[in-house]
Amino acid sequence: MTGPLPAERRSSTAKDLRRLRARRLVLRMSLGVVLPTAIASIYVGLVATPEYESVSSFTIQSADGVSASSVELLFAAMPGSSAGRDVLLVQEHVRSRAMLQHLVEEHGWLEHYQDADVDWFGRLATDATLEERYEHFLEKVQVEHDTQSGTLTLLVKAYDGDTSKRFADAILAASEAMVNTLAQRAREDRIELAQTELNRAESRLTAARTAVLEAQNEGAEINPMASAAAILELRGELEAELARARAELSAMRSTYAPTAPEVVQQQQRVRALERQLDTQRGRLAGDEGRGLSEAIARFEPLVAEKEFAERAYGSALASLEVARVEAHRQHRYLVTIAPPSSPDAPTHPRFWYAVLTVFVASFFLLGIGTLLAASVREHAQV
Amino acid sequence: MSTAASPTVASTFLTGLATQLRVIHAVALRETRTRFGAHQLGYLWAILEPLFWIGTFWGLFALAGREAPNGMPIVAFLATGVIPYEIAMKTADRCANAISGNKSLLFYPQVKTLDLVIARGTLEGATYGAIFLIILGGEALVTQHFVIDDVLLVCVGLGLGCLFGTALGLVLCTLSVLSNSVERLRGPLFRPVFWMSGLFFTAESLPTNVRDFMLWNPVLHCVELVRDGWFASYHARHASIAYVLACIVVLLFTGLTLERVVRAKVEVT
Repeated sequence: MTGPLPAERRSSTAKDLRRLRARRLVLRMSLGVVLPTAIASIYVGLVATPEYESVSSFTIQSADGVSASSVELLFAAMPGSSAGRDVLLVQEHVRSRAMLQHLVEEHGWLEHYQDADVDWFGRLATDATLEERYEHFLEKVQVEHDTQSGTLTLLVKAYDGDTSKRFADAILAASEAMVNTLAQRAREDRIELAQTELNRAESRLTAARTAVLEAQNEGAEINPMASAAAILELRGELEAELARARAELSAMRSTYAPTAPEVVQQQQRVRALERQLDTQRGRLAGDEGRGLSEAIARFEPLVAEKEFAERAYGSALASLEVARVEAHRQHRYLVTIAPPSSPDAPTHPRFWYAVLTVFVASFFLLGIGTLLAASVREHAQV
Repeated sequence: MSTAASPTVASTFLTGLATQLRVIHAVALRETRTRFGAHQLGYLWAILEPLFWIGTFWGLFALAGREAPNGMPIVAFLATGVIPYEIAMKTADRCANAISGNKSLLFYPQVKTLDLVIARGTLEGATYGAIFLIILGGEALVTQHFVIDDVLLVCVGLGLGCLFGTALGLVLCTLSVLSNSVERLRGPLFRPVFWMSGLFFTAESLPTNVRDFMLWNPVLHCVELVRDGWFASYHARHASIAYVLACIVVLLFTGLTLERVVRAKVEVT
């Protein structure tokens, strides 16, 4: 009589326990998994304002095409390879606060994202601080750098297709302006340097020429070196003439009487030649330091300086040409590979992706929580 | 009925928690004795091992004439690579052996398999956290330069590494109960991770396609996070806390489920 009753009760309590457990499991599942998933699907499916994403890609090309070299690209991330560095500079520029400022001021960035039609979670608060705006900006504008092709991919998210395209266009235009300024400055710097160098060489040459001219005016000698050469030649001739005259004189003395008119005439000739020779010697060596050699000593450095200045001017002129060519070669262009697309359908948020993520994540988290709690509880059962 | 049951549920949970914490504490203390018990220098080995790696790579970098990227000092660069790697992979390694190393402790009814894993994970985390401070503190003493950019991010990186290691260790440890070939496979599977975890490179410096592949490795994310936090000059653009967390959640879920499955097998032997 006592046997069947406890057994019945036991089975009923076991059934109760099982039912209780099942009810707890259902409760837990519905609270921990179904509820978050439902909330997520309601938000993503009904509340969230759909976003349109405009995609464009561009790169920085230099005129000499260095950016295509594969060895350069291997080290593209390192400083020194200018093509890779330019791309990184542009990437930084796109992500900068200055870019946000530009978009806010000229393209109505804030008005678009603070619009009252946008859902409350996605909307940028009207009293958002600069930092919050910047965070929001980084969420909406992404720029990815592909180190292999050296291209940048620009992704802009906005609440309608045209606006996302408009923002992307504005960002591209601002980046292009930045690249141009950068290239322009480098080019101007280089040419300016060569130009200054040329100007200096020019003034040096002018000064050297003036100095030579002044010296020529003072000394009344156009070219003392040439004059000296002429005098030397003249002296050589005179000396030869003198030697010949002396030889003739001594020959005459042996045949004629010393008072014969031929001898007297020849003697006068020899004397005249000797006088002439002395004069020429005086012109060359100069008494009281006004001779030709002194003039040469004064002229020589001036002429040398003029020659150097001429040479320097020539090379400065050449290097200006080189600088011009080089600067032109180093010019950077922003090349748009794919202009901003104008999306005709919203791409974010992706409904199934988001809902599935929430479902899987909450399921796993609930599982972990339950298992951990169970493992804690079983310590108490001992 | 539920209102009557709730205080007992809560109190069981609390007593359970107290017991579990006591068990973990005790096992962890015991582990400190046994971890390097056979070696003469004892715990010093825990510091010497990462130092050895740092020294080796320092030498290699010097021979190759390479500099650490982004203006990071070389020793700190290597230390922030080696230690987060060790905190993840050494923890996984130790946790994978948690059951086989402490089987005798399971004789006590309060000690569960999970406790052994948690104890080892906690101990490894604490050990390598301390080593991180000692090595980088030593480096700071030598270079007279000690600036941490973002302490919290460093802690997050190290913590995620430790959690990831523990979760991975839990999975491997439960799998090794099912099949002993898991233990054989662990070495070959772990070795590539050493070369893929950014110990001597940064994700930023890799070509895009290599980087996309490498970023599947959660340890690389941890290393990147620690470096981002430690150096003001480095920004880990590609590291994602969410990805590491997702890996941890999946591994933890798998591990905890597997632990339920293999539990009976462990306790029988």
